[in-house]
Amino acid sequence: MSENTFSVDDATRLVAVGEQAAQHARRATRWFRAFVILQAAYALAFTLSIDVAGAGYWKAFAPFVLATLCIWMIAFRYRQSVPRHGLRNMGIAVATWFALYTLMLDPALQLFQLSSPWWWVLAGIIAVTPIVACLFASSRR
Amino acid sequence: MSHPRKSIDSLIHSPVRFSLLAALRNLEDVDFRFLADLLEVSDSTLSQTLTVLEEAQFVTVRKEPVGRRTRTWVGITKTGRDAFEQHLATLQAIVESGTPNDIQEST
Repeated sequence: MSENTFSVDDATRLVAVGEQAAQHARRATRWFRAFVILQAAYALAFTLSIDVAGAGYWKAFAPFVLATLCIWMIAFRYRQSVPRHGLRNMGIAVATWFALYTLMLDPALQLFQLSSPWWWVLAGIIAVTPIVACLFASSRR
Repeated sequence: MSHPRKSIDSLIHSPVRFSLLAALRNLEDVDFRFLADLLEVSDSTLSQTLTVLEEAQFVTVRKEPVGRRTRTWVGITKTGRDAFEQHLATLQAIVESGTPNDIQEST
């Protein structure tokens, strides 16, 4: 595009192209946020169903694993649009959540005999924070 | 006061480079293949575009081995983001400056 023929129409068109390109890019990548939120919700629902609702461990574990597998398969299918280190960090976060809750928070609450369900809710929320942290770009730097 | 047209960055002005920076502006580092699909350009076109923008330090290109393959990640730098925003502001200034005839010149 020569400087001499550059018009307001060209500028308007380019601004629109820029907005469209940015919108396409955002739309194509925002699924990752939904993936992180779903995984965090499943993890919290799993711990709450066992320790607050009193569901059996395996009865709660089976749907959790199935739901997790489903969203991971979808994530893997769209892996090209995953942010750098996105899936790796999510894997680490899910492992951290499981270890944190199963090996630290759950035994600690039982040890101190804290029977109020709010302690378990709090423990569930604390355990899920590594997954929620994956929402932020700074967690991948 | 000079016309905003004179502030246009010719490096960004090409449609592919402009679209690429517009897409990268709000994203983290993204995969080369994803970018090629998003912008609907061939690998070679994207590669050439990235080379130009990388030389200008507008983007970073990182190659990482994944198994036997190499995965290429592309991200925008602060310089690139600033330059793009300046360019966009210039275009918007032109849009707001008036009718098309206002800025057309004869050689």
